[in-house]
Amino acid sequence: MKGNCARDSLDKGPNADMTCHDCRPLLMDYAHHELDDAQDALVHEHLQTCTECRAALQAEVDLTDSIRYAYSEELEMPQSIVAGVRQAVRGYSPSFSERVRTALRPAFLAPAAAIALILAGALRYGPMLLTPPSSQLSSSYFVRQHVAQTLGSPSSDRSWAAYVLTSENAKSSQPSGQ
Amino acid sequence: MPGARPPGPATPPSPEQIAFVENAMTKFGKQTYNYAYRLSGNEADARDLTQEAFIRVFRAWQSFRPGTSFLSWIYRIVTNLYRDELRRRKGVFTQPLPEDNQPHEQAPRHDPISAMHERQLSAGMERALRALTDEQRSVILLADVEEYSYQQIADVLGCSIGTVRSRLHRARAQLRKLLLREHAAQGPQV
Repeated sequence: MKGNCARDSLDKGPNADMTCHDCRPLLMDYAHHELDDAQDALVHEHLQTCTECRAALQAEVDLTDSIRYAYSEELEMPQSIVAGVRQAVRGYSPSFSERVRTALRPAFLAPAAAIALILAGALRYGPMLLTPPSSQLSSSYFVRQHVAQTLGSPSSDRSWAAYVLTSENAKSSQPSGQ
Repeated sequence: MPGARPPGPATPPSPEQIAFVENAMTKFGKQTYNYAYRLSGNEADARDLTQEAFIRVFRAWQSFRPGTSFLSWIYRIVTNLYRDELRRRKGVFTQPLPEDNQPHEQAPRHDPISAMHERQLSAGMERALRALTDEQRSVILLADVEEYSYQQIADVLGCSIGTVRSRLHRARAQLRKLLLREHAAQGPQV
């Protein structure tokens, strides 16, 4: 496993992408067919030329075979289990939480949610939809707006009127001796 | 092991519900029982685990999604029940097998010496497997006996594929160590 197999020492060509050091941790996944295609191909290629990694793979396979052999006994399910389940089924009554869960199943919940949404929408937007939109512009609105704006603007301040040159102002501004 | 709730004056289960669990017991009862037996290591616990698992299936039959693996679903239920029970019993679950509960004998081999040797190997392996943690044993069971993919194991155990991979690596490494110890303890074989 320390990277000293024949392939490591002899084959270092451009295709020698995988070393024993890279290969060994992948052997268990390779044996379980759990590598992606690229890694699987690399391991497969490496195994063609590396006897030590092949032996390591065989050890993985042997271990799996031994486990399977140890567990190869197939017991029949005792009929007492079937009887026990049937007895429980006969005496079954759904608990409150199970009933709630049943009520919350999508088959029940989805239509209920849809109806609730429709009702909520009708309550919120119904009056607006039922009232016909006004076809006339309210002139009083614009008058009120205009008054509000002009009252607060500099144009409503008449203090500057004394300085505007008008005929009346001109008379009053002439020298009194003339 | 918790049993079924006492009978109550409620609506009886639907015929579909009963048919679902009956069908499940017929088709998958044996596999479920064997999984429970391998996980727990004795028949009494395997019986309780299997019965409770099918009762859970009966109660939650509507949460089973058609098109998915029923076996994965019930293995998950058994594994969770086993974990819960292990926690309840504070880690003491696997009891040594009594003599009358030993699995049936293997089919006799033609070569008696090799048959004896295999029995010894198998007994050593069984002891080593029992010495693993429940997590390690369940991942080995699913990967090597049930031949589940890592994704299926992740679904059953409720963990990621990366966790399955690392757990399986550790479990097999531990198993090798235990087998070496078994081998050393037994001494040279005939």
